[in-house]
Amino acid sequence: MIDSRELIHLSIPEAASALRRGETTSVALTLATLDRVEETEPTVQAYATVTADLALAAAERADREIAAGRDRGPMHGIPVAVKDNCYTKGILTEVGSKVLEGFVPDYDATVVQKLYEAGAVLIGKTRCHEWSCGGSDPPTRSPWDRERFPGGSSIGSGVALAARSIYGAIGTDTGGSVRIPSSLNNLVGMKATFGRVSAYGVLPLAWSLDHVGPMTRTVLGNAQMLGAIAGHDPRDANSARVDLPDFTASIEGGVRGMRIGIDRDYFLYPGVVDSVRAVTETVISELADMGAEIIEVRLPELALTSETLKTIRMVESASYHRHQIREKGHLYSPGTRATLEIGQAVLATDYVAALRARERFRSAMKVMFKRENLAALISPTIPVSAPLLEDVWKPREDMENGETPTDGFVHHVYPANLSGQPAISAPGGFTSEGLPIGYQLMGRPFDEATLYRIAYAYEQSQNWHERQPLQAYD
Amino acid sequence: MPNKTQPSNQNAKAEQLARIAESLSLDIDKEDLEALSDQLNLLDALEESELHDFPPVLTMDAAWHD
Repeated sequence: MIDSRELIHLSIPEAASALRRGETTSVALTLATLDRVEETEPTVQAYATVTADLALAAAERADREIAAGRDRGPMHGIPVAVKDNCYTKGILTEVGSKVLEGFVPDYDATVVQKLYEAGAVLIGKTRCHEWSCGGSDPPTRSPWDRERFPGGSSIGSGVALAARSIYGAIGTDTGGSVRIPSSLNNLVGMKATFGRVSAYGVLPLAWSLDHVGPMTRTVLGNAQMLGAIAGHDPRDANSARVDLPDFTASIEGGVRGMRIGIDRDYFLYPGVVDSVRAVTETVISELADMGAEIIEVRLPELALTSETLKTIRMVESASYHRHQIREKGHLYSPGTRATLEIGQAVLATDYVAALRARERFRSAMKVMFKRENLAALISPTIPVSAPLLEDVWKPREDMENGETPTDGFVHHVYPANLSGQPAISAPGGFTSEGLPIGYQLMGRPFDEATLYRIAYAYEQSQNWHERQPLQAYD
Repeated sequence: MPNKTQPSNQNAKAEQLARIAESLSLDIDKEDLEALSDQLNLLDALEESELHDFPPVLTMDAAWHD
């Protein structure tokens, strides 16, 4: 049997293999995870709610099923956590908001239901920013450096994975909220194609931009987790009626002959710091050495993606919240309330202009992918490494245009929310101070498998994903 | 790619936003409304010059790459 102190460091596929070889049990994985939660939570505060009793009952059930030969797949018996904006029947769901204080849903979000059906063991709900956008920060701290920003809004999911207090976690991504914490915490985060994963039962931020996605420590584990949660859901009007492939089937196929685009003007703009630039160039160089063809591309339509997305987000958020704010506005923190209210001032014609701008951008992206026969577009996930908490909203000293780290966070991730195409963030390297740096791949709609294949090839060529925080938990 | 609009248009949008915010009793900082005004002015200019052939489409095309 594997020692319980080693269990927490296994990836999802390693834990799944150990389960099937009889080297551990789901109960042992769950107990090791709960011990780790107890050890790390006083420092990192990644969890909003821990469901220890339910988790142990689910783990016992998983062990019985596996022993009886009823194998539900790679997530069977694996401890997972879910962002606190996903409905969980009988379990607190507060999305970091006083409005929902004490709220216990009477049904599960589809993503939760699918994890249960896959035999995963829910350890608890992870903290997120207020209403997934908030102006008030959760108490969650980065295990890489407590003084530095650990990402948002799926902040607890990212931190729990980095702290080894979970194997896989669900995040949501309206403007990078799966990929940003993944980049800052040395993780793999997939924002699959819009409609690939049901958003039913997930508290919305902006319906036409919201995506639900898996966050893990390895590429293969991420592909396995996406396989468990993806699929058409008639209860979600935006859910896509498309085939559900095995995302792992071609993952070892390598990148030889694949054409990978890079728009240096946009994705390596002056706001990209030297360490991130160097890591990105190294990833590109490694992929080229493995046989990928790197294609220089230029997509001017990227320029207004931020204005377009923000307009759509503001209006859809305002639509969702305006009645509630009228009745319970005092329960929103002032910054969050302003963020969610400002869209009421936008005219309908301005909103439609943004929808039209989105279509123009999506069309241009489509034409470029076709013209250049691209498998993916590569970039840094974000232009900076984790900033100090006190600097997150301050203009950067190295930028003359007043750009803040927060402005930079969204520069590279917004385009894929706007186009709906899949995008993955994966570990690319580290700064000299030991802070993680991620890179991003954007792909063709419903072709997440190719992104996994590229990211897996790079992951196999180095060991960045094995690095973990040195932070002591006390 | 539009990157600026006429000052008169900028002012008109900013004033319009301020009026709407006041009429709805929204407690929004002046700087945030100005930023929103800049954002909408850029989209307005884009719409005027480059969005003629782009109606809003809300579905994802699975055959995108075929």
